[in-house]
Amino acid sequence: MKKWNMIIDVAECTNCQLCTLSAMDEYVGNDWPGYSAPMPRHGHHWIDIKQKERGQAPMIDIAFAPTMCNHCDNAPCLSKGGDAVNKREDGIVIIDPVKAKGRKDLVESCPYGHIWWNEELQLPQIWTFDAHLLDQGWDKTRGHQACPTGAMRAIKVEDDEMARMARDEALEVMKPEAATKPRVYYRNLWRYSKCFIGGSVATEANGVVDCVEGAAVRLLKDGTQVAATETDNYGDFKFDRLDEGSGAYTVEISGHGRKKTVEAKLGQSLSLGEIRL
Amino acid sequence: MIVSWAADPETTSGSYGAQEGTVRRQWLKNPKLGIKVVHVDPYYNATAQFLPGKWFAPKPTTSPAMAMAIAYVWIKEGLYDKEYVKTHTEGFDKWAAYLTGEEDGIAKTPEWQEKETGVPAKDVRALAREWGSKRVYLAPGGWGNGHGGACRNQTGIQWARVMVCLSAMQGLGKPGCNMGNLQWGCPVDFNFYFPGYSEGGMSGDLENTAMPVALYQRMPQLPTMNSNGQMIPRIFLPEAIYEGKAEGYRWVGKSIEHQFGKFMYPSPGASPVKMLYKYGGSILGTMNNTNRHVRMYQSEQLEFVVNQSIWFEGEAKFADVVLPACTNFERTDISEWAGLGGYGHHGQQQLNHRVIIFQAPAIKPLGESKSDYWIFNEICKRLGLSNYFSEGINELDWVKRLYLASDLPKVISFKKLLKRGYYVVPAEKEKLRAPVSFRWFWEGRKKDVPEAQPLPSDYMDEFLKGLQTQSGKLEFDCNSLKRAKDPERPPIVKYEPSWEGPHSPEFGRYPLQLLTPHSKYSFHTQGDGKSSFLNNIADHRVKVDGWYYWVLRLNAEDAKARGIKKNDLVKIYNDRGAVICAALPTQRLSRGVCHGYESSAVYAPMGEPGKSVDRGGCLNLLTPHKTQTKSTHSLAGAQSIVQVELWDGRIEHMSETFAAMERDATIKQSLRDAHLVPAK
Repeated sequence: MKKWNMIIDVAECTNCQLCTLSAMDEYVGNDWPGYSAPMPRHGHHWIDIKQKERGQAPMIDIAFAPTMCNHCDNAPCLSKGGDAVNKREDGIVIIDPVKAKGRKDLVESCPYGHIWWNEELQLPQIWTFDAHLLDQGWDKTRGHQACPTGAMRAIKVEDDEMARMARDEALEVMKPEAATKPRVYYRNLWRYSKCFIGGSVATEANGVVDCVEGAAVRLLKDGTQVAATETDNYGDFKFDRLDEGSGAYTVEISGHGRKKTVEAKLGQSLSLGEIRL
Repeated sequence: MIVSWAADPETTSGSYGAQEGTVRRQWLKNPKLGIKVVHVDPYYNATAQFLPGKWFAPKPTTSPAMAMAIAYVWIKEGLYDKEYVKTHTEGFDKWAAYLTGEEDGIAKTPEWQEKETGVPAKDVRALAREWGSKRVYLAPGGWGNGHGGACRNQTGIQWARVMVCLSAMQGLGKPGCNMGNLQWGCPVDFNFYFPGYSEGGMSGDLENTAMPVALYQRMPQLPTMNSNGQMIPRIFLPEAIYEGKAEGYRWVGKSIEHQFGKFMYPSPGASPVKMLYKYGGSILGTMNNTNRHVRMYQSEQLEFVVNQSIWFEGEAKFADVVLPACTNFERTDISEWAGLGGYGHHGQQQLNHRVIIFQAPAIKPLGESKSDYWIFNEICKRLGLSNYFSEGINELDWVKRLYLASDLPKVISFKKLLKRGYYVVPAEKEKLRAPVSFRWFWEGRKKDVPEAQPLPSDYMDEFLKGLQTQSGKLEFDCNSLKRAKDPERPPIVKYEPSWEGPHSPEFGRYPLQLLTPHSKYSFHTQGDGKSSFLNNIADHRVKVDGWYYWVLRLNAEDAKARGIKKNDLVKIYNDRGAVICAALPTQRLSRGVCHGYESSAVYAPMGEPGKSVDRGGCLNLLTPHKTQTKSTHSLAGAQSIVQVELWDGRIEHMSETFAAMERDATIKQSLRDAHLVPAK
């Protein structure tokens, strides 16, 4: 049985918001009986783009991660919801817009914060994977259709195939520790979840400061080398995909016959700025 | 390599091109191509986010200095195309003498520019060396060859000129050396005619639209334009009303010399303006120093104001009579996306497909609203002009007339177009596609790209031979400017710091530079406010205590120094006015720089207009209206100096425009009291 999954490439999302706007266009003011009651005009973010700004000016980057109901196979809302929450054969989770009335308790059950409480209708609501459209023969979701970079792709494959893709293409899910078996996968999630240590190496000769290209830079943790790189033509180096809050590191730079060591404590991404050899 | 310089097509959509260029820029991310991108912009913009690369963050308005230092390094290290400069350009030696300091004793070194721009000299030297040793596409502005970007601040003319100088030094038109950022240049069919928005449609205006270029011949119509001919530049409309005089320069793309064509208000023999018929409410959000416009609307000299508008927003509230117009979803029309007509030739080349739409009304007009055509025709009826205006036909007839004027009848019947609703113009055959821009110039051939300009009379040599300049070459020492004798635009481009910026005497009081570029999620005032979905986008507006505030980005350290946290309400102000925004501390800006989009649709003064803070987000209340140069039309409002502080909840803020008005009134009153002038 083929089931629906979503694959999101964090490196290709530009925060254009077309997926979030198409979700609003699809659900605000529209009742899809059996699938969803209307989404409120304001206050709900059934598709919500999270962002992460890393580093300090001018060595920074920014990543965007669209989030939504993960349509988990092992969803807490499913176990808690009784007949108000259903898992379809194609993997999609539907919160019944009639039976779930008054079930505010379901909102807290979601570890992703993606069950939205509709105060007016007294109803917990989620993004339904556009199930009402897929059942009419659509082969993709509105967000997938609107995405200008292909960063958001809905695919219908066997679970085995999806597991193979996730393994081969290093796809990750949000909060794997919650063990909810989400159906929304991310490529390049490190751009959002990991952090870097970077800097710019320069040297002074005859009163002129210049960037140092090709300096060897080593990253050490507790005296052991964890990574090595070289500076580029701007003297820049960057060690990426480090864990946030992973503590003390030593950066060792050698070039032009000189050596320099910088101690760094990593909470969030860190630009060490100019390092003069 | 691509050097993106004040270019953010991912935010500005090129212009009118939505996300069409995005997919092409995405090609640059293919590592197999090995194309590097670097970004020069005071703001780490959306395009920099999408196409990662080294970010250079010069202080706003200073980047012409950075460009000159790059040219300096090229000269000192021989990193430019000397042969090209010899054969394809003129006056290089004179500019080189300025750069090396021969002319004024100041060498325009990377160290020299660092004091102005804040960009480390070493980084500029490294960029110059990399650029000088690679084939580089330079991408200035939203289109990649102009439009928006740094050309809209006080040093914009310097910036535009120096960008061309850099391109000239590297051999503009050589394979791999050109201007662009993959926004323009799609091989759509340029021969298929459908009029663009500046071609006047059914306006009957042969003088102030591009109608005479191609549309009028295909769709003759009665001349229903205002025959008076008196004009007022929109940015100086307030002075025209309350001071009774204004002057401006027309934008005419026909020749270089037209930019010097001055016009005056009042024009000789013409009546002073007593009534304003305004369409829409965009002025307060989109013009500069707009408390002047607030004053204009309150001026006794302006006796009557009509506002015909879809939305009751912006300055619509200042009108004596509001005529509610319906949206384009509630009336019949025909249009093509990104078709600009005369304002930007072949704007459709930003698109991957040309699409022409028949717009059938989706619903009947809501409430009391009516279509614009209906409103104008009803007014004309009362003036006995209905037949003259409408030519006796209805809206659908006009749509058909425009259809017949276009090339559509060759490919689709009117009935079929109505039924299908759209027509996708197929791309041109491969062998008919336009060649690369400026390749002809590099190869010394006649011009072979489909551009209307320059017109034949603007060639000094043969038609299609050389550029529009007097020498036909790229001119470092500009002959046209030698003639114009404009002290603000010397024949060679020189760096002159902005008159509003770190060198301003007021910089002590207003120590932050505010960038006000075009907005990412709305366009001008379209889409913003009016409880639209865009209010839900946190990078557009943020809801605080029940009100959707405009977002102001500021450097995280600057924010911290002011005790400002994310979503705190801040007052951003200068002598021109004050706006309340929601703060967004960020590392996307260097210290001393803040950023908020212009073009808020919401104008919401919290007290008396002109004397209180606005919480609608009209940052153009704060921007300067002085032009870049006195000798031509040249807006300079995209950068201003301001102060930002946590808002203390006070709503009074006296703008200099209103302070001046009250001062004048006091003086007049005391003169009257002293019986020096007769009372009215």
